[in-house]
Amino acid sequence: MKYIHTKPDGSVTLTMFAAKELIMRDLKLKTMTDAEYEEFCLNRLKQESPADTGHTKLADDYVLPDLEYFNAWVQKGQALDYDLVKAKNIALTNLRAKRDPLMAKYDGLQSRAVDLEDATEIAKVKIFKAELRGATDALKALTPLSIEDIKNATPDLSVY
Amino acid sequence: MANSAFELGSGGAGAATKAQQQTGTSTDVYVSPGTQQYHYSATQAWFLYDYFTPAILASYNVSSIAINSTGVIQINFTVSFAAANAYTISSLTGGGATTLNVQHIITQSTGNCTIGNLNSAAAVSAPTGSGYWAGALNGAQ
Repeated sequence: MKYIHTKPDGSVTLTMFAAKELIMRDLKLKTMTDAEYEEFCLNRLKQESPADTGHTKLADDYVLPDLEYFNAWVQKGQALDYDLVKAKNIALTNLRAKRDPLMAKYDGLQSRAVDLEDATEIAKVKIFKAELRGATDALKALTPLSIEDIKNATPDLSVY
Repeated sequence: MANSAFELGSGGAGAATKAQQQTGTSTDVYVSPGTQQYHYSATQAWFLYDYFTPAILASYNVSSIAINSTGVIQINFTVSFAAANAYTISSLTGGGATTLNVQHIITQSTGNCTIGNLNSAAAVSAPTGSGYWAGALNGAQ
């Protein structure tokens, strides 16, 4: 059973409860109805997060937003959505984290190519480095209207 | 040497109480399934959690697991520990050939603890690799 709730700072918490049978075992209960289990979960949730608001049970088939952008999740009524400004910043941070080691790698390759006076390699590395430097340009310029806009503007750096 | 009441079958031996389990020195009482977890050699709570599904795959004495922020989970206990500093936590997550996950305890209280995952850049982040996150908690309930 999954619940969402919102902390006073506006961020979301996603809570997953253990199955009813496990709760029964841990509490040494012989019986527990589904209604009692649900009541137990909601009571626990409110005890554990008294300052939070909007405690909402998610349907079993509810499709969660992308966990990569969890810190950009916002609760809208009984559902989840994205804070697109936060999501864009997360995408930029993640992209830079992937790009930095690649830049270091190509710096090394460039030094080696210069030492070997390999003009072809030098030119190739310069192109890769320019592409990497510009990898965040599309995202930085983006005013996203959806999470898909952000994903589409995030280049795949695994090719480098 | 005198035989214990249990060995004599005198009917005098009963199930160990929680206190006897925690003291852990008696050889005259037997252990029942309902109290064995109170011995300090036992794990009082454990979990196997799939961060990316996300779901609790298996657990003991864990009522729920919450994602508080990316890479930070809160373990809520079904039955609380005796004190905030009365237990230890060991935790690990799945990684890969070139990735590193290290966990650190952010807070711990009687009813819950929060654990953060660090990656190779020493930044709190989602676990890499399988996303499986396991933990064991030992101490006094």
